Amino acid sequence: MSPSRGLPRLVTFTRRYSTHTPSNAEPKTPIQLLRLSPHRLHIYRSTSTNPFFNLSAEDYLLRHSPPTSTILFTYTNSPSIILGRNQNIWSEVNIPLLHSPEYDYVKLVRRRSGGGTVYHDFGNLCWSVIMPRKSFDRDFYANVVVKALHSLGVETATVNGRHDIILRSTTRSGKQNIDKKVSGSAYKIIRERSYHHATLLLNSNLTNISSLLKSPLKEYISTKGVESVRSEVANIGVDKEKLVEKIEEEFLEANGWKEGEEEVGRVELEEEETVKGREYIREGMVEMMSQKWLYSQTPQFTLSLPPSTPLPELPGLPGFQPVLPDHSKLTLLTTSSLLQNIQLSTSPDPSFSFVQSQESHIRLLHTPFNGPLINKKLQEINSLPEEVKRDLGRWLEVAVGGWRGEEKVDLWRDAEGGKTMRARAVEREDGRRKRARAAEREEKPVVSEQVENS
Amino acid sequence: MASTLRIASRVLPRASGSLCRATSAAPVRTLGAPLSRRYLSGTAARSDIIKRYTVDHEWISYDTETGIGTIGITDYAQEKLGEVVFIELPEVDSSVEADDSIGAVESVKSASDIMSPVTGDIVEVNEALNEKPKLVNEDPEGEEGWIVKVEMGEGEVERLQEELMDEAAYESFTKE
Repeated sequence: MSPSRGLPRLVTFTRRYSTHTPSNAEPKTPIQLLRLSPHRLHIYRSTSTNPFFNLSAEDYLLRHSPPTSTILFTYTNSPSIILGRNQNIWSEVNIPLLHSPEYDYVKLVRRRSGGGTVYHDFGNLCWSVIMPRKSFDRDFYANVVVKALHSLGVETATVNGRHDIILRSTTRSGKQNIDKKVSGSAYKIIRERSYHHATLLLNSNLTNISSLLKSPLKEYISTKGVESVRSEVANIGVDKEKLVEKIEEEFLEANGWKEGEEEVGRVELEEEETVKGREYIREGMVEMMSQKWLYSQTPQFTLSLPPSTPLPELPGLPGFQPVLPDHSKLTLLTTSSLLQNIQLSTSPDPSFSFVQSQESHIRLLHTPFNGPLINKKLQEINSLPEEVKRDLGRWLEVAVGGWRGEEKVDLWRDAEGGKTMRARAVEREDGRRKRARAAEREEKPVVSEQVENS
Repeated sequence: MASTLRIASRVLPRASGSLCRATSAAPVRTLGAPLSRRYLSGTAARSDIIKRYTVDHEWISYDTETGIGTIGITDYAQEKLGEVVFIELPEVDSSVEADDSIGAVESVKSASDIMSPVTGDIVEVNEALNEKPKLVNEDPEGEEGWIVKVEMGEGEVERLQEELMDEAAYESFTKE
């Protein structure tokens, strides 16, 4: 989407904001005006393809738009894997493949809404409707988008029982009668507001979807988190610009909008200007890019590798399939992506295997579930045979992979070194508490005296 | 004088309990200061269990004596959310502010925040939900489906009584 694209026909109210305004005038940016906006309906488009920005801007719209407004927000992200909030990275994503130089351009992101893992690229359109919690419905806006698809000639589009949009298979008599998923939905609900956001495959790289979202570790991981439901996918193949306009039209119609009677707030969000204007979005992006959010948010899980079976071949380690000796045991229990309980032994002799397990537990305890770090610690276990340590360590280093994202994130200082919103909020709260305590003290002394006397 | 003594003797058990941290939630009143309605109305038995509801569809039931509040989501909320597949629980011993998010419920692809109605410290989380998040659907307001227990901060007991909805008010709120 380019910022210079002509305005759609339906525009009745437009505000254009230039990024080149004289510094002394400083007109408010659209995102700064949102809170006071009198409109019931808003149509936002993002010109950025940064998933961290788009998801954080969406979160801002959710939390700071007028409580009764309804907003349609469309954006496209650069190639990225987007995990659901409560998912396990290692069982959802093919980490060795993602870390291979070939896929260097793909970002790894954990979103704030629930649901399963999806792949975004330039051939994908994200649409999102932010609405009052009272009008929250899992299917309503999916049907609005289906209507837009129908009007562009995609007649087989329909919403299925999982609230996703599918293309119904037309060959009724044929053997291959599989519905293809073209759009995945997820939701977020807070206090008075909620959103429904979804992908829409127009001409995405479907090979990437199936290869990147297939983890070699999946069968060895048991997790308490949310697991993705795999579906056959397909591209719709319609023009993105046209579809966005159609969705906007249908969105207005579904909300009972009539031309000439009501103004619609229309805004194009530009990344740099928006981030500058809204500290909340900048802090949201910083948090989303942190290792704490990306990795430590992973719900508790256990990795167990079987003995006497060749481990799967990994991208980056062709032909390398180590086999753990018979009688070996390997289970790693992980909480917040830190190893908490480690059982690792190779010996058939119960007392020696106990020694091995004890030593591995002590050496690996609290190590992050991070390939290179696990490998390093593994080599320090004296009671394990050299070749097992070497092969297993090498395999785990690649299978688990290193961590991406920001290691140390300072959520208390903003870009200019000042206090962040979070820091200021904590300070305000501390002040409030202190005042409350002071007020309490004024009352209290009398009481304690009375009590002691009586 | 007699009435002063009577009131003082009411105050006494509370003050003697000041060694345990929880009593800070039910601050001792000055004799000179006006007594709150709670002390005068017959409802203020030594340990009342009071249940209140928030606009975010959480319930909190708290013991006025210990100041420990149990928080969960309402039956109405669980019905709207559908089958719960995961509950993000806060850490025990962390402190929370009223209106802070203390976790999230994931159901049918939606993540919804759980907001704390009170300021205080988390003293217990319902670990059973890690194994069986569906307990929130099966028994949202009962023994099984609670989410966290909070030791409420100073003045919170009084604030809640004034600010939150009772059962009747919540019921009419959900029917709006």
